[in-house]
Amino acid sequence: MTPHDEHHERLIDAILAGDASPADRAEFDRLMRDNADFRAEFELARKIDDSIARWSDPPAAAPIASIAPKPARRALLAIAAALALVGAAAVIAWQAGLLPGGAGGAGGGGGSGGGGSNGGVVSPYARLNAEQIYRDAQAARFIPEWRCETDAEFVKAVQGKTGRAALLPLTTPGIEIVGWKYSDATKPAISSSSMWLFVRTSAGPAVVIVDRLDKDQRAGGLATGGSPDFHAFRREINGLVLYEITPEPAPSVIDHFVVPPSPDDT
Amino acid sequence: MRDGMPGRGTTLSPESFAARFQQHKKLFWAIAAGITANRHAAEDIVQESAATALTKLADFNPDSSFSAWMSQIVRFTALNHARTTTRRNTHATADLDKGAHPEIVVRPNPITPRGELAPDQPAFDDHVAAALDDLEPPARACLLLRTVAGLSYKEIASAMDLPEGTAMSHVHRARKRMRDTLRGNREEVSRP
Repeated sequence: MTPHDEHHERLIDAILAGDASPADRAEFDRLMRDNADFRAEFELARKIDDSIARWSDPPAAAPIASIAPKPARRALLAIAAALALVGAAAVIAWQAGLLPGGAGGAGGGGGSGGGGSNGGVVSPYARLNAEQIYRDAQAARFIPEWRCETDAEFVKAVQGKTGRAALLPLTTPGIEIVGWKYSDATKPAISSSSMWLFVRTSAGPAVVIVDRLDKDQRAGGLATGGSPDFHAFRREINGLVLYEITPEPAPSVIDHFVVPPSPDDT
Repeated sequence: MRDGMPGRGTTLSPESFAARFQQHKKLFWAIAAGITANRHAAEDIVQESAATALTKLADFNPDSSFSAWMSQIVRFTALNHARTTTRRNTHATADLDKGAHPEIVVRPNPITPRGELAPDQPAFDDHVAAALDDLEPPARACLLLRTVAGLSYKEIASAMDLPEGTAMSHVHRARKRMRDTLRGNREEVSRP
């Protein structure tokens, strides 16, 4: 690469990584405005990053206690350590109120029809409650990590993640679909594959969490967080669960979702 | 990166290990995926690395970085996996044809002759996966650590045991090479 290429490469990388300086930002804006080749390079780089993010879809949230050690000499020690982790995770979960009778006393699913019991499944992750989810979205200024440009992309995105097709039409009156955010496997909403959708309504921004119903039932629903500033509304539709988290007293998004029944349901 | 410091003179407890492991899991996955170019194998490698680390907790120096220590175990485990896979496949470069990467099915190039992106995201994603597969393992790992794990170059250098400048060079060249590959006009890039 020439020094010129190297400089542009550094600029593209800094912008995509979000650590560009004000001077970088100003130069980037100028190049995007005046240099068609640079603009094309950046757009392709951005699409590649988005694609890598899809490729690298956060790894499944396998509980650390389920680690299967290699057989032979280290097996006994590893199993013993793993068993110790189960105990530790149970204590952590109890303290966080994730287990029945836990000290944290987190609420069950918001809105109608809470999820079932978690059946004693111990998660090593501290799941976010509705209030934390909304505050995270606020902290991110509701800037999405990726967008669907068409309804078909929307359907494919949900299907790819959950195995179930679902659509919130782009043309839904009064709703602007801002875009999606990847789930952080270490801070799941319901599970590591929960999808976060940012929307804007006439009443303000809202977050919709989409996941499979069975995962929600295993997780025991989404805790509300107890703040009077936010409301979480829940819908179960043909194998999917939708949570709308909003400061408003009534949902305005989740009832517009179309979720056709899956052939597996019959 | 001075994370994972349970206190001078103490051994890392399994509970503390679990918490720190979860905190850096995305980093470990990116290293394993970078070295193997196989996202599914990467998950197994990370779990296997954790099992290995659990047997070596006494070796961990509490005054050192947990993520650097664990990253080294993940790197060795991934390299072992990659070597084993290479031995198994006489022609390792034929992995795509042999189904070693079932997630990669190369479809027609989605970049139009004018350089625009055709509206076919799955095809584009397949090409990106193939282009990733085509990178040298250290470059791929550095790129994933930057794009997926969101690390700084200092952190990438620590995780990969590389000089910071080399990590940056890997990422820049990998980005450029992938764009060239996706446009189908890759130039020969001299490796650092």
